[in-house]
Amino acid sequence: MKKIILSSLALLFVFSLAACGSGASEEVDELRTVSMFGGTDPNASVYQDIISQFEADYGVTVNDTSATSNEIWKTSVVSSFYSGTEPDVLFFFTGATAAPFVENDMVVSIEEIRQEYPDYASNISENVMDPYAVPIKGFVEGVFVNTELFTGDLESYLDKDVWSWQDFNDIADELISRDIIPFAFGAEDVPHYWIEHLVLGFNGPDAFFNIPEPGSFGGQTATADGEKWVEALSMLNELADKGWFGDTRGNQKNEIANQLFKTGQAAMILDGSWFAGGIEGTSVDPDKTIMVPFPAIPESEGGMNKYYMQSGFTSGFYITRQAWEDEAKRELAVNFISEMTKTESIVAYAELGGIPSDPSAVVDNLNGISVSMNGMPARTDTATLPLSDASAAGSFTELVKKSAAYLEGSTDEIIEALESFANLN
Amino acid sequence: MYKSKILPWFFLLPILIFVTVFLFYPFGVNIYNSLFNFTSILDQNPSFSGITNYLNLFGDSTFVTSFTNTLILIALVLIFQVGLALILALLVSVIDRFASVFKVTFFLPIVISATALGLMFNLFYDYDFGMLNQLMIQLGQEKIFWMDPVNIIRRFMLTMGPVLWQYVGFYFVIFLTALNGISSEINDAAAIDGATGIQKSLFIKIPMIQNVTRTVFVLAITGTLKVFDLPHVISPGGFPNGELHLLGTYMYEKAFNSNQLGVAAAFAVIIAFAGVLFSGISNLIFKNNEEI
Amino acid sequence: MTRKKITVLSIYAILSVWMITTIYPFIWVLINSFKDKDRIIVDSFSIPLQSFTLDNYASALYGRYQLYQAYLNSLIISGSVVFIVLLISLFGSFALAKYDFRGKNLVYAILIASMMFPIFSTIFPLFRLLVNLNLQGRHLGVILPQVAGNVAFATILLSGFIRSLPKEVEESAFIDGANIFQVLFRIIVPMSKSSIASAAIFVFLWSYNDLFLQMIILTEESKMPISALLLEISSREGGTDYGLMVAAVAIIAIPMIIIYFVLQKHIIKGLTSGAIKG
Repeated sequence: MKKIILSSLALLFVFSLAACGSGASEEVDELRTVSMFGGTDPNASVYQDIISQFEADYGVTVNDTSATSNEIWKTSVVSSFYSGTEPDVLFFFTGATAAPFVENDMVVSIEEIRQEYPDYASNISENVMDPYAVPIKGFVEGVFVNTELFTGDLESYLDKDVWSWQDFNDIADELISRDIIPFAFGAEDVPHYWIEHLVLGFNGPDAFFNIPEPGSFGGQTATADGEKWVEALSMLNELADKGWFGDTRGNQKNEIANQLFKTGQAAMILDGSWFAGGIEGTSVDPDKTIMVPFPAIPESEGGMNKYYMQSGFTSGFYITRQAWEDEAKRELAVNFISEMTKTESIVAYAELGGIPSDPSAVVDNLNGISVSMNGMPARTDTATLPLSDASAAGSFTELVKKSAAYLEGSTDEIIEALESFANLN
Repeated sequence: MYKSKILPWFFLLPILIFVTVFLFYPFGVNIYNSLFNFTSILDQNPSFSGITNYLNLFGDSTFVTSFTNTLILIALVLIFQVGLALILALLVSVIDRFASVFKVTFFLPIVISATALGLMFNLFYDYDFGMLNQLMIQLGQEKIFWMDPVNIIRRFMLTMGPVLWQYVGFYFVIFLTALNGISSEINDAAAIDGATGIQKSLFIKIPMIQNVTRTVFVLAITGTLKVFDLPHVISPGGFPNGELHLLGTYMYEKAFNSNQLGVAAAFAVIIAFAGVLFSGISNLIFKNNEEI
Repeated sequence: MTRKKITVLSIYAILSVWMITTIYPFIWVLINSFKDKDRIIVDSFSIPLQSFTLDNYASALYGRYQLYQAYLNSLIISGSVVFIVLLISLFGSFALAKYDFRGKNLVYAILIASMMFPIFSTIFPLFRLLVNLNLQGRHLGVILPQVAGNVAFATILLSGFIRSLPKEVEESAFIDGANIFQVLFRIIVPMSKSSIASAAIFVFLWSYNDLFLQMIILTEESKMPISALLLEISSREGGTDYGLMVAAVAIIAIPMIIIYFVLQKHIIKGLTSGAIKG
């Protein structure tokens, strides 16, 4: 019996040694970096290649822990700032997600960096620069169109730059008569884009930054603006009734909607530029795919003649205050980011899709859809950050939750959802 | 024999230490947090709001829905999941061959991650590509929109069905182990007295594993209060409109999607309280039925 | 056929039906893991006779991830958790099953209560605690909370079993002059092998599949366990690589199944009858 106790204790000791022995070691010539280019993200290989090159050129080790972004990962990154374990260089989101550490001065502003290093990130367009982070590329959102399905009567539409609301209606009718679903829509988990673009269409881009007060959406205290928000969301019911989303009326998962588009059963899908990366290898030809701005709704702010677009450069490279304070690290961090954001690198990233933040980064051999996406800014009047980024953190989810209600057209629930949303802004 | 009043406390000390430091202490902080209003995940100076968070929850119709749904699910779990597990265990305990085969295969759903299982079920139910509809077409029928939110009861069943199915194997193993612990002497004696299989099961075996059954009930209840993975993949966000939320899935939404940490904390307190309450009720019912 | 044979056959029939439902998902995962990733959603229930591919496994094993390191991490963490849990819950469940003492019900209540806390509720304060104890980013920072999370289950399970063990053997041992520890280790433990194995299996499984804790505490890739792999793969913006995902699921599940298969052989029918008769 004594033997059992002794051997148990010994085993326990060994285990705890194994566990304890794996703590992080401090090295002088080491840079700690974190990014969201995890695992299967194609950007990850570009990122890692640049890291290897950097290590070779500067003779240092880069300790990188990158992971694909999800809620838990975002939380752990933010938490790391509060436990003093934050990295030296961080590639992360901008805006509300970063507020916890940006607002507490835990990262260094570009302005401050430029006081020491005037040429820092000078190749990046000022229009897309964030006060604290250097972006690599940005996204645009719009309607992906599988032009191969636009035969016969639909062919003429392909000559137009933009399609009006009436155009879309006619196109949808024709598609339905051919048993093709006009729009693939996965409202169960990703109704975001439709919500945002309908509101945008009805209210114009300023509305995103001037969300109506609670109480403006219905009842006695309703305002004209508030009521337009309600109308916008109710539109989903009308569109579903018309058959725009197929038999399921959009009550399906986003992954299924994607497959409907990728197998040619749906002709169009409203999504962001990252979607383009997944078209390759499916039965849809990326060269025969274009992006068109979401239609302007007749009753909308600008009427039929305005076209708005959602886009943004919502991620970038940060230097943490902790790294900045250390002279040696400061230099390393600046050099690292410069390598990551020099024109050559931006080209490498942009080859995988997305709008380059450096205007001089020209990518060769772009496929059809990429050319089309890059041309979106030219075809629209105003660009704005998506509502999900422009509104207060955690508030947009209140709108996302009630997507079924919009498709069903139950006004009471729509008003309720908008009220909850407005309350958090 | 076992007279010492101090020794048992020594035996229990390690457990109590672990549980206090890593569970009760953080939960205590959680209770504390539930009295505040947080504006972001790492809000350093939240404002005190007392029981506002709790009142918000009780007044939240989605919360009430998730609570009701969970109660319904608990009933279904106790009757069907645990019930089926017991029946299967009884059956397996009397056969001679292939017992190992069944033991391993019944366990498989628990080993496979809920993400994969959820994907598979989603692909059963899907309207356009799903297997059920492919079968319908083969049989010359029209496709059915199985997960249509309009038919909410059917959608509820289709979402909760896999949840019930997945963990049958878990309780099966526990019951089987208990049944195997009943000495074969008793079985033989009963057979000599002329008892049939069913009689033996009902009147001898089931009562003999009462303690374990009581444990199983507690596990099933607490497990259902927290269940999250599978329903989250099949009906994310309790689609439609949060009507299919369970306590576990709604709590996740509050904690991770909406930055309302204080509310999420209050939620956890309520779940813990409910767990203790329902387990207590369950235990009371068992005590009243205890013979010998 | 005799009545008995009909009964036995029906029993096998019922069990087989259930077995088909439980095996099917695993077969589905396996079949799809050999399919080209873009065909999985569209055509998920057919057998890839023509389009058989090993690409998914290749990207899982040789891709970005150090799979072997992840396996080792999973083993270290879950193995330690099982070991510690069994050790301390053995003592505790013995105490609860055999002794009567004041506060016994309170202890039970504490144990049951500790099973109520969903991980999301304790994760943020736990994180801060672990940072303060300098365990953030270390394996021990996952092992200790997991032990705490599982020990109540194991204790309740074991104490239930121990309490229902026949008392004659211990009684004769005590009469023969054995002390408590001898009774515990020489008599109770052997008699409880099957329930100890059950507890071990479940604790291992829960520790192995646990996600939240591991993702928040272990952010360094070299320390991440296998379940984190799956989460990485499942949450890509450009569209999930389903081929990679099901291959990863298979890779993650297989060791679990093997371990379970090995352990369950210890759940032998009639383990205790020998002790009474003999």
